[in-house]
This record gives sequence, structure tokens and C-alpha cells, in this order.
Amino acid sequence: MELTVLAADFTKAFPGGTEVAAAFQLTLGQPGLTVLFGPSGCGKTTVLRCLAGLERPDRGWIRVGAETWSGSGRDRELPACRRGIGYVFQETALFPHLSVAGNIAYGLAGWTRSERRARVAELVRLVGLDGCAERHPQALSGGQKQRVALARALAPRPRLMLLDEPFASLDRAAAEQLRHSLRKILQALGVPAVLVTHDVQEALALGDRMLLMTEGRIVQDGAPAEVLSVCGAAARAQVGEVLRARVAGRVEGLLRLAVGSAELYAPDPGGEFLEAYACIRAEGVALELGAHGPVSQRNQLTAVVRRIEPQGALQRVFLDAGMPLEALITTWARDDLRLEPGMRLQALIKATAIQVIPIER
Amino acid sequence: MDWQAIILSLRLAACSSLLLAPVGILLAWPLTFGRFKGRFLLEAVASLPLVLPPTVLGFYLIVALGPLSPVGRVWEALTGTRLVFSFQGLLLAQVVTNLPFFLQPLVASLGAVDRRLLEAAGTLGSGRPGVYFRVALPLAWRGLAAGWILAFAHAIGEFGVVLMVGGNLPGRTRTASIALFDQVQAFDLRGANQTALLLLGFAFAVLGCTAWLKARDRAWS
Repeated sequence: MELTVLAADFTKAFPGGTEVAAAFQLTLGQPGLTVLFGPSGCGKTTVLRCLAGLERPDRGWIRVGAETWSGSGRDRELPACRRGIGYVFQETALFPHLSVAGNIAYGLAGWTRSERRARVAELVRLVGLDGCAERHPQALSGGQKQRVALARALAPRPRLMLLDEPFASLDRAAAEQLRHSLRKILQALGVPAVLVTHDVQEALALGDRMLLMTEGRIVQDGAPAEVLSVCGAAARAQVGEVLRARVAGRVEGLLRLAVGSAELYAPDPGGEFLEAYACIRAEGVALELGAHGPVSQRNQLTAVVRRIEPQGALQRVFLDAGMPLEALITTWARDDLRLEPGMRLQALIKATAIQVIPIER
Repeated sequence: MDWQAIILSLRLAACSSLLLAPVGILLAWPLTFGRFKGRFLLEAVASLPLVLPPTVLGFYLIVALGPLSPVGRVWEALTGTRLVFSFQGLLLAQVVTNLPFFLQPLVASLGAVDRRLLEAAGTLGSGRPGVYFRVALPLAWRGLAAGWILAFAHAIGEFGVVLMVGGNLPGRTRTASIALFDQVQAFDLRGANQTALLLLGFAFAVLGCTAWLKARDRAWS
């Protein structure tokens, strides 16, 4: 497929809301999942809706190759129906008067009957809804509905998929299952996608690239772990330090992860994956000056203190343990250990204090 | 009982509500989803027959359809007949008079359709007509049915406009409600009672149907 660049630079404000200003580029024509990540209410959905043509930007433009999707002047707005996008809404928005097959076939108006039937069958199989084609949406579970919504959006072969928190209304198990399939489906069809989410685990598990949004602005753009390590303070508070890891082996229900030049043991969340993010909260890291015999923590790393920052009554210690690591300790403990930058010590991390987020590939 | 008048009423109501449906369906679209200047004017014009005295409406319809009006002249040139005091003239008058009865439940139902469904249809390649005819209208079918039934029922019972535009010609323009008026004038109270009871029973059945449809409309959401 030919590569085209979608370039956008626009602003949009609603009365009483923060003004959203977004400038970014996406490459169409190759698979890849861009996560638009940020806290609730920061304007992620507005950006997505402007891309889809469901909202008109106040100022600025959206261009795809030589084509203008949105620009200045009244008639420089390409309607949603001519943008060739697929949109998945948070609450599915399935047509209640049509069956599953009818919903999926909705966007195939110009196709012949046999083409339509074949495409519907293909998508029903792809999203794992065999046997449900004749049912009506009301008879489906939340996860099944979202699969139909996904299939419906993919059916007309969109150039770009836009997904607005598609897992938010699902229970945990259904969300995890769908998250796992979503990546494979998008990869199989070769469609690039933008996914809006405020869930850091979802963002890490799915994103090839992350646009971090705060208060209506895109503040960082890059690989998910790097973006979070630079300015995802709020997200880091949720999951801790995010480190990219390679699965080096599995031992007695634990994963052996290679992180930088260090090795970590962590609980195995199950499933087939070769790469993952290891998330370590600073509260879960203990420090020790010398080895005094066996300890319960499975991870003992030799580390060097880089710097120490006071944080209220606590001290945040930045370490180099063959990988970046942070420990949150009391001022009392710092004084006891006489911590100074450059000191060499042992960092102890319980295996159960490490959260593993498999990277869906 | 004046069966001729009752059959004429039914024929008139059936024909006028059939003619009304396409006009109403096309008008309901801008009234519900239109974002244009002067929409309030369209709303006012479409609802005018609800509040206008039937005699006033009838008078203007005579003026508009009369042999001296452009419509009347074109009609006469084409068919050789006159619109006023004819079944065809009555039909047009009924369409105008009953339009708000058709539109109000339909517009209410269309307005209640989840906007995200309409947006979803848009992202799936449907232009505005597609969104309206393939999603909005099928989902508002109860409002459509309620509007159609109300317009039909009102056409059966309309008196003032029919008398003004159609007069009282047996077999041509004398409808059931005009026959009832005649019966009372002629002190035929027994006949009047029968006609009145029939119209009452019919109106009651119709309102029951529309109330049922309205109650069920929530089931879609």
C-alpha cells in the first residue's frame, strides 16, 4: 500500500472547556498503533473526533497527502463519510434495528451482494463472532458488541482506524481478551490506528507510539516507555518506573526478565509474549548496604546512587542498577544508611512488587 | 347512518395520509437535524395549522386553490376541473391541515435517536440522506406510525376546513362530520347519535394506539 502522511495542526474549544491544540503526523498505509494517552478530560476524544470529521476544528488544518480534510473556510471540511476512516465508539453505537451481519455490512453500500456476504463472513471470523451473525446487538455481551463495532468499522477497508476508549465499558476479562485480539486484527489487515485511552497498562500493551496529552496539548511524542519516563509523572504514579524488558526464561511460575544489563524475577501474568514492560514502584524498592544473608526478596541488584531528592517527609533515591531504578525511603533510613551520591549498595525488590505488562505483538 | 359520507371520509383520510407521508418525511429531516438560519420559521409554518382557526385556514386555502389563483389556474388548464368544492381540492387542504399532526410525533421520535448512531453511520460512508433513511427513520418508526395514525384520524374528523374548501356536496365533499352537522340541523338526533358514537369510538381507538406506540418507543434506547 502507498504511504501517505496525515498531518494535523488545529485547535478546538468548547464553551467552558479547555482549548485543545494538536499538532502531529501519522503515516497511513502501514500498520502501527498510536496511542493518544492522557488523563480523562484532557481533550483526547476531541482530537479523535476532529480527525474523524465529527467535529470541525476552530482553526488550523488536517491534510492527508494532497487531500484537505479540514482547512480554513466553510467548505474546506471533508465530511466524515468521505474520509475513509473507521471509528469505534466507547459505547459501541451499534444499530439496534440491524443484525450483527447487517451492522457489519452497513458500510459496504457500493459492493455487490456476493462481495458483501464474503466480506461480512471474513470479518465475523476474524473478530471471533462465528455463529452470532444473525443475532441482534441487544442479545450480545459487552465484549461481543465491541467486536461487532470493530468489525463494522473495519469492513469498508478504512485507511485509518480511530478507537475511542474501546475497552472502557467492558469488564476486565473481556477488555483483556479484546485487547489481545485487537492488535492481531489490525496487524492482519494492515490498518494503522489511533487509540484513545487513559489506562496506562492499555497504552503500554498496545502502543507502538504514544502521544501524551495534558490539558489539551500534546506534550510528548515517541515510544511509550520513553514518553512516560520523560513526562508521564501522573502515569508513573500509577504504575511506577516503566522499563522495557525481554523475556529470558520462565522459572517456577516466575518470569526471568532481561532489563538493560540487569535481570529481574517477576510474576508471570500468563500468555505468549517475548517482550514486556516491567513496572516497579519506588515504594517497593528496599535498600541495603551489604549482604547479610538470605532475604525473601527475589531481586537483589547492585546499584549506584545517582542522586537523592527530598519528597515531603520521604526521600526519592535515583539509582543505576544496570537499569534506571528509583527507591522511596524515609529520611530516617537515608540518615541511617548515610546515603550519598556515588555510593554502591544493594537494591532489593520483591518479585511480587513488579508488575509485568506484556507487549501485544 | 350516512354510509356514503362515512366511506368518503375514510377515502379522503386514506388518500390524504398517503400523500402526507412523503411530504412529512422530507420536512421532518430539516426540522429535526437542520442547522440553518430561519429554521424557526419553517417550524412555525409547519405548526401553524394546529393553532389557526379552521375557518381562517380554510379561507386562505380557498384563496390559494381558487380558480383565480395560480394553482387553481394550472389545475384547471390541466384537468378542466376546479379544485375548490372538489375531492381533489379537499385532499390538498387535508394534507396542509394535517401536516403538524404527522410531523410532531415523527420529529419527537427522530430527535430521540442516539446521535452517536447517526455519527457512526456517517463514519461508515453514509451521506446525510443515507443517515436519515437507513438509520434515523427506521429507528423512529414508532413516531412515524403514530404521526400517520394521528393524521389519518384527524382527517376523518376535520370539519371547518372541509366545509370551507369543499362545501357540502353529497358523495363528493360531504364527510362524516359534515353529515353529523346536517343530521343535527335536521333534528335527526338518532342518526346524529350513531354518527357521533362511531366517530368517538374511532378517535378513542386511535389515541389508544398512539399512546401504546409512544410508551414502546423507549424500548429502543
